[in-house]
Amino acid sequence: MGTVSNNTRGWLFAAPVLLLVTLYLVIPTLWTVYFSFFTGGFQPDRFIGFENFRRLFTRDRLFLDLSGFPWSGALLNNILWLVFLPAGAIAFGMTIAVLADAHPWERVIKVIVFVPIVVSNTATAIIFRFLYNMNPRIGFLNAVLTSLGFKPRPWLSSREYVTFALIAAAVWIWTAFAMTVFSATYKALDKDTLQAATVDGAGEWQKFWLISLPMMAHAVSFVFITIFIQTIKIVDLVLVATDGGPAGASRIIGFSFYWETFQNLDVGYGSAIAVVMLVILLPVMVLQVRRFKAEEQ
Amino acid sequence: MMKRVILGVCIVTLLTVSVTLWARGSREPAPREVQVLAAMGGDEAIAFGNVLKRFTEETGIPVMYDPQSGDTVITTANTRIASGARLDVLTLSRPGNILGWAADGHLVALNDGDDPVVPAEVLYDNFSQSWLDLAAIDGRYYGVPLKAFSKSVVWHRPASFAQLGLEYPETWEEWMQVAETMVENGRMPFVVSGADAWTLTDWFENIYARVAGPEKYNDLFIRHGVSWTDPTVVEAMEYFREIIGNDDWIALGREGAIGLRRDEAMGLVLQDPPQAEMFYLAGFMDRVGRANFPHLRSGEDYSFFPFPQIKPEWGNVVVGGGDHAVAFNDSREVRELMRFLTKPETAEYFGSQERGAVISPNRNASRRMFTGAQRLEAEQIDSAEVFLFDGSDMAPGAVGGDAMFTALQEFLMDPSRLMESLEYIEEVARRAY
Repeated sequence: MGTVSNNTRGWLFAAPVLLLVTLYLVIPTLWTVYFSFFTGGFQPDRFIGFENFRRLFTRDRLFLDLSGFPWSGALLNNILWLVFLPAGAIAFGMTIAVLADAHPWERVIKVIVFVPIVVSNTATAIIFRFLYNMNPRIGFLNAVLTSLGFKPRPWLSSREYVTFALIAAAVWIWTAFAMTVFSATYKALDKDTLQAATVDGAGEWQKFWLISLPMMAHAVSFVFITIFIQTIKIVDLVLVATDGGPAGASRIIGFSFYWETFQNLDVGYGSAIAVVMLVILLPVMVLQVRRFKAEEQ
Repeated sequence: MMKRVILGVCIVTLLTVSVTLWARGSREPAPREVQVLAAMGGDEAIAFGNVLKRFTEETGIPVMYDPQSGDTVITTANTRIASGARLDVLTLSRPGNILGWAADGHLVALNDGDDPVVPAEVLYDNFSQSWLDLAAIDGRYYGVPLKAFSKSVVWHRPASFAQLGLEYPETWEEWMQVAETMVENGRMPFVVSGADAWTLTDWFENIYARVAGPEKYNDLFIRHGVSWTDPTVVEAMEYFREIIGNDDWIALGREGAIGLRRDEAMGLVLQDPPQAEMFYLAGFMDRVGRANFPHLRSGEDYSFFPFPQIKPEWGNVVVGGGDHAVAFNDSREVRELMRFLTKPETAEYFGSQERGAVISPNRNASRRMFTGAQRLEAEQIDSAEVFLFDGSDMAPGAVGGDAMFTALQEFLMDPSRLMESLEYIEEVARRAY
C-alpha cells in the first residue's frame, strides 16, 4: 500500500461515488440540456435552437401569461409557492416549536404536528381533495362554512383559490419538518444567556425576538433552503389534487415539466422546462454548498 | 474386489446417464412469462386478471400482469420502449398511441407473413372491419379489440320522468324542453363533471358528431383536416353552451361543476333526494351505480336514454370507445395469448365476471350474461348505425389529452370565451399533427 500516494488513494475512495454521480446525475443533466434544443420524443428529432425556450416564455400561456391582469401561468404560480410555502411552514413550525417547548403536552402536540411528514404527497392530495370538496356533504371545510351560514366555496376549482388551497396543503406537510428542526435547535440554545436576559428584565417576546431567533438563524436558513428546493420539484401533490386544473390554473413548473414530457410526449419541450428549473435551483445549490463548506471550516 | 468396484461404477454411471437423458427428453423448455401491461382500473382490472388466470390455467403459460391507469400506462410503455426493457402485450383505449407505436415499428402486425400471429380470417370472423381498422395501417392489423363501451348515454332516474310525465327526448329541442319542464317543477336538470376534463371532451364529441357527421368528425380528430375554428365546431360549441351557459341548469353551478369528479356527479343523480336529474357520460358509469348504490336496481331505478339526435341526416350515431390488445414481441407465448384474446369464449368469460364485466366488440360473443343498464348498453352498441370512436382518444395527446381539456374547462368556467378556447386548441393542433 505504501506505493500508492495519498492523492491517488483519495481518488480511489471517491471513485465509486463519482461514477454513480456521473452516471445518474451529470450525464442525464447534460442530456436534458441537449434535448432542450430539439423537437421529438425520447429520440431527439430535429434541432431547433432556442425555439423551445422562446415558446415557453412567449407563447405558452399555461406557463407564463402576461397578456391580462392578473398575470398567470405555472411560473407565476411557482413564485407564489416559493413565497408562501417556506414562509408559512417556517412561521407555523417556529410558533409550535417555541410555544410547545416545556408545555406539559409537548409530546402529544409534537406527535400530532409530526404526522404529515410520514404521509405521502399523494395521500395528502387525496385527503385535501375531500377536505376542499365543494359538496358540503363531503367537504369538511364547506360543511363548516355552510353551517355558519356562508355559501360553499370552490376551493380547488376556481382560479382565485386553487393555488393557495394547494399551498395550504403543502404548508401542512412542511410545518412538521420545520417544527422538528426548530424544536431541536431551540432545545440546544444556551439557556444561561436566556436566564441572564430574564434577570435583566427582558420579556418573553423580547427574549424570543432578540436572542432566540438570531441564535436560530442557521436553522431557519437551512429549513428555508430545503423547502425552497422541494417546492421547485413538486409534481405529485398538484397532479393528484387537481391535474393542474381547472384549465391549467394550478400548474407549477415541476408539473408542467412532467405533463409536457410524459403526457404530451414533447420531450424536448419538457427538457426546456427542466433546464429552467435547473437555472432557478443552481444559485440556491451553490449557496447551500458554500454554507456546508463554511460550517466545515 | 476390483471387478466389483468396476461393475459398481459402471452401473452408477449407466443409471445417472439414463436418468439424465430421460429427464431431458420428457421436459420441454419452460414457457416464458408473458408481460402484460393493461390500462384497466378497479373491478375491471380484477376481471381482466381473471381472464389472464384462465389463460394460464389452459396453456400453462405464466403471465406477469400489471394493471395501471390509462395515463400511466402510456408513460410506462414509452419508458420501457425507450429503455429497451421488455414489454409483451399491452391493452389501451387510445388508437392514436397504438398507431404511433406501429408506425415506429414497435408493434407486431397480427396478420403478417406465412405464419401469422392471428390469421386475418379469424379477425374478420370475430370483429367488424371498423373495429379492426382503428388499429391498422395499410391492411396490417395490430390490435385485437377487447372491450367496447358507449359514451352516448344520459343517466337519470326513470321515476323522475314518470312523476313529471316526461317522455324521453329524441331530439335536441325535445331535450331542452325536458330540461325546462324540470326547472319549472323545481328540479335541477343537469349535472356536469368538469374536474375529469375528458368528460367535457366527450360532451363535445357527441354534439359534434350529431352536428357535422362522421366524415368531418374523423377529419377533425384523426387528421386535423378541419380547423378548430371551423363554423361546424363553433356551432357544436353553441349547442353545448345552451346547457352550460345556463348557470341555473347545472347542479352546484358552473363553479361547482368544474370541481366535480364523475363519480360524485353520478352520485348527485342517484342519491336520495337527487341533486340533479340527468348526467351525461359513459355506459361504464353503471359500475359506480352498482358499487355505491347497491340498493338501486340498474336499468330500473336508474337507467339511461341515448344522447338525443341533433341533425337527423346523420342517423343513429353512437360515440364510444374501447380497448385493443397489442403485441410488442413475437414469441410462442405471446401468440398463444393474442389468439386466446380473439376467441368469443374469452369475451364471454370477461363479460360474465360478477364485477368489472365488459362488453366485447367480438360479434360472435353472446350478450346473454349482461343485466340492467349494461344490457341496454350492449344493445345500443350492436344497433348503432354509425359507431364513432372517442375523438379525443384518436387525436395526439397534446390535443386530445391537454389542449381540449384546458380549453373546455375554460369554456365551462366562462362560456363567453368560446372563440378564445377554440383558437387555443387550433394553435396546439397546428403543432401536434
